[in-house]
Amino acid sequence: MSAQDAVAAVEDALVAVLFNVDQRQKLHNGDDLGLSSQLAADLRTPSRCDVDALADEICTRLTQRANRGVGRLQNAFPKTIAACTQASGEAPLFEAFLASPESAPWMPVPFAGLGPCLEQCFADWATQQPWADDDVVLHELLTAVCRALATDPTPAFVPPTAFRGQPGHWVAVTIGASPTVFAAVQGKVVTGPITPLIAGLLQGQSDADLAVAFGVPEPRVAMTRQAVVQKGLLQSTEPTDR
Amino acid sequence: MTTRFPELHRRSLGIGLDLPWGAPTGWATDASGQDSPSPALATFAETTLSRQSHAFVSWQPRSRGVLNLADYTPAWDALLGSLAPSVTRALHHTALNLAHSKRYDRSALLDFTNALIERYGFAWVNEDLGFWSLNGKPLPYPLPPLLTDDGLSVAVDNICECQEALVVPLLVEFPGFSRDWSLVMGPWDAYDFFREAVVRSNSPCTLDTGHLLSWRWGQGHRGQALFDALERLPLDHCFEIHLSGAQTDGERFLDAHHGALMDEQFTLLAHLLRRCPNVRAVTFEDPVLTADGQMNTVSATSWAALQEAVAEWLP
Repeated sequence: MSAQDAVAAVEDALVAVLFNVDQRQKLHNGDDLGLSSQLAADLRTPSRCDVDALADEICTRLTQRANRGVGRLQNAFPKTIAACTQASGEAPLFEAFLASPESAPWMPVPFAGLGPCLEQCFADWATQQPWADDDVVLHELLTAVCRALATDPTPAFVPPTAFRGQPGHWVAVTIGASPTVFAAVQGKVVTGPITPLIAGLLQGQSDADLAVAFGVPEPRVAMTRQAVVQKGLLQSTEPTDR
Repeated sequence: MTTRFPELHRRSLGIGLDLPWGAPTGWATDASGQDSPSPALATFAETTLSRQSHAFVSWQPRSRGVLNLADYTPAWDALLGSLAPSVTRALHHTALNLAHSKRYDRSALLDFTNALIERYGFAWVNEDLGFWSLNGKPLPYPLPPLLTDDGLSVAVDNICECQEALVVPLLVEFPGFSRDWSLVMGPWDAYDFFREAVVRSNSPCTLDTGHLLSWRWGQGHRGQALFDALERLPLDHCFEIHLSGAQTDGERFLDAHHGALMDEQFTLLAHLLRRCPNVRAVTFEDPVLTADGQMNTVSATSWAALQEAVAEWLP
């Protein structure tokens, strides 16, 4: 094994034990973590280090982590976190999130690769929980990411797939009973209810398809498209499949 | 090959500042999103930093955006433009991540760092040798490098990459071993490991008194033994000495950066000044500032004591 591979293996093991309470328990149980026996012993020896203390601090810092334009997870997901608290009391919410596979792709230091943002990882985890309302989680996620993209139009993270666009122009749409737009355009946040026709335009459908779908003349769709362009939510009058 | 030291033509006592975004004594952002030095920082820069012969500022990411110099220049121009031209400036990095495997791609970061150097005239860059993040995940305190042969090989490669890419010398700093957070892995003694990393990469280095003491303390040394084994460090390569607030708490050593210097740090400083022939800069790191931009009482006391401690050494 090369020196690079050997160090990379230790990095993987450290991430596992520091960010995942279940892996940490395996360390304490003496299970194989892919480390040499000497390195594993070093990690377990209380006189030389305290993995649990460091892991606790990582979790504490996560709860205090404030992202520019968005704030902390508690600010971004107030209803979701309240639902968790109501359902399970003082459950170790963030520790459970960190231990989950949904948190694994989060890598806010962008030089080891781009991953999803913290809010998306948290939302992906929350929607797996029995106490979560998926619609509420999605609304809170898109609102938060919208603010993040307005603050950083060229993000060093991969926006949620709901967002279409390019640096400086990001739009997400939810459909259903009350379609809603979440947009970050030229540094501004634009959110609010929209008609199903506008939702279709923002999702890249053609005027002809929308005219058929909604039973309206195509020129009327074109006029609506023009109005949406003027509001900055579409970049041109041409439909796009981006 | 001779070690590439920074250009600093006379011995210097200076101040270094960690500058977090959103902190009362770091960078501030107004309601319109405009960045600037906080009022306390701006006052401190004008009244105190400008009187020093050298000063360093730390770089931390401003936001979650792709690196862009223009995002930083409003605040950095205001701060560094307020310093007297006579102040030699340096940059304390926080993202070179010199212990990490090749999965960490520094290319954009090094370009960005060179742009900062060019714009602000930094004479050197320094960073503690360690893991500042792991696989892109943040850490509350840098982890020491993996103290193994493999860890040394990787660290030397990384340091050489940065020395080659950066337009000014990189001072490699001895890492800290604080609280219960420093996972010590591997058989190497940290002094020996650091010496080898610095010598093999032919780098200048920074010796932080608190960090050195933290290693010796963690190894169980007390009293005079805290100052033993200095010959195992790359003393000839030392260009800068850091002193930042530290304390012990029972069996724990805290690299607290709270402005209160320990007596042992002054003793160690005296040892190092005698034994490091190329040291040119002594830096008081992270004094604690009051809301009106002065050092608080504890930091001012430490600063006065440090000025006295280096008086004979300075020109």
